Amino acid sequence: MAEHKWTMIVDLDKCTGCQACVVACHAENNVPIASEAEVVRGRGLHWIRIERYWEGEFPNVKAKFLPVFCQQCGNAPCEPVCPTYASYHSEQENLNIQVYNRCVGTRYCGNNCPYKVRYFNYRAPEFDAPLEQQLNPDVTVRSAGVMEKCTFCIQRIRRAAETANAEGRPIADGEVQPACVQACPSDALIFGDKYDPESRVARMVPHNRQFKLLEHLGTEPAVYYLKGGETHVGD
Amino acid sequence: MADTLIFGLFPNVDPTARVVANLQAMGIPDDHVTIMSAVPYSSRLFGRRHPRTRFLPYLALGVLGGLAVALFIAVGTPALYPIKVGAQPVIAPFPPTAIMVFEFVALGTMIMAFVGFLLQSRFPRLSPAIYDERITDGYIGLSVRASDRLADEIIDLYNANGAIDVRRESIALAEPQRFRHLVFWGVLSVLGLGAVLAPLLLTYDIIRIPWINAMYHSPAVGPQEGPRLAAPEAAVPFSGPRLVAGEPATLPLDATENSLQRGGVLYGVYCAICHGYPDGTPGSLRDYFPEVPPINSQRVQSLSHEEIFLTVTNGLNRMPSLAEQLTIGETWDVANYVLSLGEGAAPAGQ
Amino acid sequence: MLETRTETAPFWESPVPEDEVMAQQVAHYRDEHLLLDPRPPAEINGLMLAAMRRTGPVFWLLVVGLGGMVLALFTTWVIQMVYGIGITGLNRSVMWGPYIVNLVYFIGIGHAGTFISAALRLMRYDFRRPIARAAETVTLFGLAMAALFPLIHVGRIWKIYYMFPIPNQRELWPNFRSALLWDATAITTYMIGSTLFMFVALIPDLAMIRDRTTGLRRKIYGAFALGWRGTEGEWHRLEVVSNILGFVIIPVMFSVHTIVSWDFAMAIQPGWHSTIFGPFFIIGALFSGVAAVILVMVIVRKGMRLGYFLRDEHFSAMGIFLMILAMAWVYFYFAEWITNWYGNLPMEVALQEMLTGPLAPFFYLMLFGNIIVPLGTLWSRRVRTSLPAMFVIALFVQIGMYIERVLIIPGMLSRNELPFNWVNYTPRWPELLITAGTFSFLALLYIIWTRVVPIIPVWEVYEGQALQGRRRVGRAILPTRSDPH
Repeated sequence: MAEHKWTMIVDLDKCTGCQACVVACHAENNVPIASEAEVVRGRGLHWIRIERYWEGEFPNVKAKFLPVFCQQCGNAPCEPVCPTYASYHSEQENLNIQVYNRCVGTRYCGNNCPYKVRYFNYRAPEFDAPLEQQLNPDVTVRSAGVMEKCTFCIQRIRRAAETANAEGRPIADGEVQPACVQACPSDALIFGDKYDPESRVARMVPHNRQFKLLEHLGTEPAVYYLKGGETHVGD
Repeated sequence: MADTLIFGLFPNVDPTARVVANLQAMGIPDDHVTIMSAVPYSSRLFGRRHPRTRFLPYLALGVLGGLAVALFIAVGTPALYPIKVGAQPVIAPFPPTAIMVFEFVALGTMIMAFVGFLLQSRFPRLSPAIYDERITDGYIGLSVRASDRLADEIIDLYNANGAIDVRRESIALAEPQRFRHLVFWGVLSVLGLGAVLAPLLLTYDIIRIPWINAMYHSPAVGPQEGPRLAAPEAAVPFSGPRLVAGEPATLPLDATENSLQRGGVLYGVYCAICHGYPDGTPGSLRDYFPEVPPINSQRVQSLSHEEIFLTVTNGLNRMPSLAEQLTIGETWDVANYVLSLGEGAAPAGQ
Repeated sequence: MLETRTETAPFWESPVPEDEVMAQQVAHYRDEHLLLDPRPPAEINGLMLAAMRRTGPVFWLLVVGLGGMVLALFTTWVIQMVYGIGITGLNRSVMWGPYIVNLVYFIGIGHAGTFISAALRLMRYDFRRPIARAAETVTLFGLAMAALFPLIHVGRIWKIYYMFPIPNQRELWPNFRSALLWDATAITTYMIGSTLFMFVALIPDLAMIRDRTTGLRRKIYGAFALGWRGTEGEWHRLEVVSNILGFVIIPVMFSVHTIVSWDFAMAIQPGWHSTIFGPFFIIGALFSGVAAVILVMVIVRKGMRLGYFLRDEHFSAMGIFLMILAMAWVYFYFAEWITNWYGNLPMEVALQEMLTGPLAPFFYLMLFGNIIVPLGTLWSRRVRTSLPAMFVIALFVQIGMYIERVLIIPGMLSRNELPFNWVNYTPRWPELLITAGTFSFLALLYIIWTRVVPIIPVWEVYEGQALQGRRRVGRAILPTRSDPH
C-alpha cells in the first residue's frame, strides 16, 4: 500500500470564523455536545475549535481567530507517553492514531499536547432520542473515560483508500475530504496528500504566507497555516 | 558412642564466653556449640569465627534474572511487536531501557538476597530444635552436642559458671532441618506460580468472561439496521419513493388523464366482472360472490390509494391477488380510476 | 587516658558510682539518652507489650472515626467509577489534579522511612534505632495509599490490566517508553524492597512476642517469626541481608522519586519540563517524609506512652535533619524560581502568576510552612525537644509540601502555550473526600499496625544499649560507643 502524508492547509485569509467546520465535525464524528455547565467548568469538547483572542480596548476591539485541531504531529509528544500504546503513529498515513478501546484514561497524552487538542470524555456522552439516529455508524461512539481528538476523518480516508485499492488506482486528489473541509463555505481548509505531487496541497507548499503552529517546539505538525490579512495570527 | 545435647541459660556474655573457651579446650568442634541470644552479639565476643554465609550466588541469580526480565520488557517486546510512537526509535532507546534495567536488577537483587537469607537459615523452622523462651528475655542460651562421657564434665562446667536450668535434651533437637523448609517453599512456589500463570488463562481467552465493552454496542444506526424513524407526514417535502414502515417503497402515480384512461380500461378487463360497472350494471360473476362490494360503495371509496394498491396486489378474503396480471404502474392506474369514480348510488341489483 | 574495663555483668546492670558528682552525671545520662539507660530486656519487652495491648476508648473512637472516613473514600470511588471522572473538577487543560498530587505526596512521605532505616543504618547513626520501624511503617502504608491513586484517577479502571506486561493473544504489550510505567516499576520495586527490609528486621521482635503469648496469637506470630531462635548464624545472616537490602534500597529510593518527578519532567508542558525536577523532588520527598516521621513519633510517644524509647535526643536529631532538608529545599526551589524569572519566557508565566494570581494565598502559605517555620525555629534545642512545637512545625511542613505539589500539578497545567487554553482548576467534593479518606486510611492502618507489631524495634535498642557504655576519665563520666565489627 502506498504511503501518504495527509496534510491540511488553513488559509487564515479566507477563514471567516463561521464555525461550520465545528458543526460538521460534530455531526461526522459523533462528538458529544457539552452542556452549558460543563463548558463553564472548562470541558467544552470540539475536535476542531475556533480559537479567538480579543485585542485592543473598546471601541477598537479586534478579534483574532484561527481554527485549531489535532496537528497530526510528525514528532508527536502525545505518543511516547501513553502507557498502553493507545496513541501511536501510523506510518502508512503519517497520522497520529487514537485507539479508543485501548485507552485506559491516564490522560498523560492530554497533558503533553501543547495545542491542547486532546479531549477526555469526563462523562458518558448522552445522545437523547432521536439524536442517536443522526450518529455516524462508521465512527465509534466513545464511552466515558477515553481520550479522543481530530483524526482527519480517518474513516473517510480509509474508505477512499480501500475503494482505490479495489479499483487498482491511486487515490485521486480531492477524493478524500474531511467533514470540516467539506463544510467550509470559503474554501479556507485545503486537504490532500503531500506525497502526491499533483495534489493541491503539494503544489501550494512552500507558500510565502505559511507558518506552523508552535513550530519552535519541534512537534512537526502536518498542518500549515497561511497568514491572513485581518487575523494577523503568526505575526 | 551416643551423643547427647546439653543446654543451659546464662545471664550475660562473660560466663558464656568462659564456658565456650573451655569447650574449645576440651576439643569440642565449634559447629557443635550453638549460642542463642536476643541481642545480636558478635561471634568475636565468644572467641569464635563468623559463621560462613554464601549470598553471592543468590545475588548473581537476582542480577541476571532482573536483567533478563528488564531486557525482555524494554527491548524484546518492541522488537517483537514494533509500534511507532513520536520520533523515538522503535527498538530500545537507551534511557527507558536503562531505567528498566536498573529497577529490575535492584528488585532481583533484593528478592534473591531475602531468598538467600531464608534458605541459608533454613527458615521456616518446621522441625523442633533446641530453644528456650527466656532467651528473648535477655538470657543467652548455650547448647552443646557432645558424647555421653563428656556430658557430666560439661554440666559441671555450666553450673560452675552460673548457668541456670542446665538440662540434657534429646540429640534430635540438635539436628539441623534438612528438607522441610525446601518442601514448604516448593509448595508455596508452585502455588505462587499458579497464581502468576492464572491470568494467562484469561488473556489467552481460554477462560472467557462475557464482558461487553461499553463501546461495542454503538447507538448509531447503521446501514440496513433498523428501526428507522420516519419523518412526520409532509414534514419534509420529497419526490421519490414513498417509505412507509413495513411496506414496500413504491411511487404513486398522479391521477392524470392518461392514468385514469388506462385505469378504466384495465378495470373493465380485470375487475368489473366482480365489482360491477360504474353505471351500476352488476358484473357477470356477481351472483357467485354476493359479498363483493360494488365499486362505488362507501366501503371501497373510503379506502386510500395505498390500501387499494395492497388489496389488489395481495388479495383479500375470496378476492385473488392480481400481482401477476397487473404491473405496479398499472395497479396504481386502477387505484386512481377507482377513486375517481366517487361514491354513488348503489348499482342496480344490489 | 583510657581506662580499659572488663565487663562481667550484663549490659543492663550498671553500678552507680559512689562519688556524688559522678553519680549525678550517670543519672543525667540515664535521663537523656536511651542507649545509656539500659534496662533488663524482660522489662523492656513488658513495656512494649503493654503499649501494644492498651486499646482504650480513645483508640476505638479513632478507629470508628477513621473507619467512617475510609467508608466515604470507597463510596466516593465507586460513585466516580459509575458516573465517570466528570464528577471531579478536572477540565480539558488541567487533566491531572489532586489524585496525582496525592500520589506524589504519599510516595514522598514514604521516602523518609527507608532513608532513616537504611542510610542511617549504614552510616551507623544510633539515633535511628527506636525510630526505624515507625518510619518504615509510614513508608509501607504511604506507598499502599499511593498505589490506590493510579487506580482512582484512571478513566477506565476495568481496563487497567492493559498496563501490565502479561503475554496475551492480541500480542499487545505496554509502552515502556512512557514515564508512567517507569513509575509503576520503580514503585513496585521500592514497595517490595521496603517490605522485605521491614520484615527482616521484624523477625526477632515477632519471636519475642511469640514467646510471650499463647493460643492463636502464638501460632500466628510463630508462623511469621519463621522459627527464629537467635543463633549466631541467624543474627549474622540477618545483618548481612539487612546490609545488602540497605545498600540496594538507597539507590532505589533515589530512583523512585526521581522517576515520579519524571512523570512531569518528561512532558513538554511549560513549568514541568525542567531538569532540576529529579533532585528537587527527592529533597522534597525527604523533607515531607522526615516531617511525617516526626508527626508519627510525637503521636506514638504520647499516645502509646513510649517515653522510655523516644527521648528528647531523638526529636532533637530529627529536628536538625528537618532543618538541613529545609535548607536544601529552599535552595532547589529558589534555583527553579530564579531560572523561570530570569528567562521570562511568555509560556512559563505560571510561576510568576503565583505571586499575585488566584494561587497567591497558597504560594505564600507554602513559603511560610516550608521556609519560615522550620528555618526560624529548628535551630533552637528548646524548640526541637518540645513535643507540641515539633508537632506544629512538622504539620506546617506537611501543609507546605502538599501545597507545593498542588502548585506544580494543577497550577502549572492551567497555563500553557496557547492562552485560549488557560483554564483554572477548582476542586469539587469527590477530590476532597477521597483525599481526606486516604489520609484517614493511612492513619487507621497505622494505628492498627502499632497494635499488631511492636512499633519500636526492641532488639535494635538492646543492640545499641549493649554497645554503648560509660567510662571514667578523671572526674567525668563519658559515654563510649563500641563497634564490634
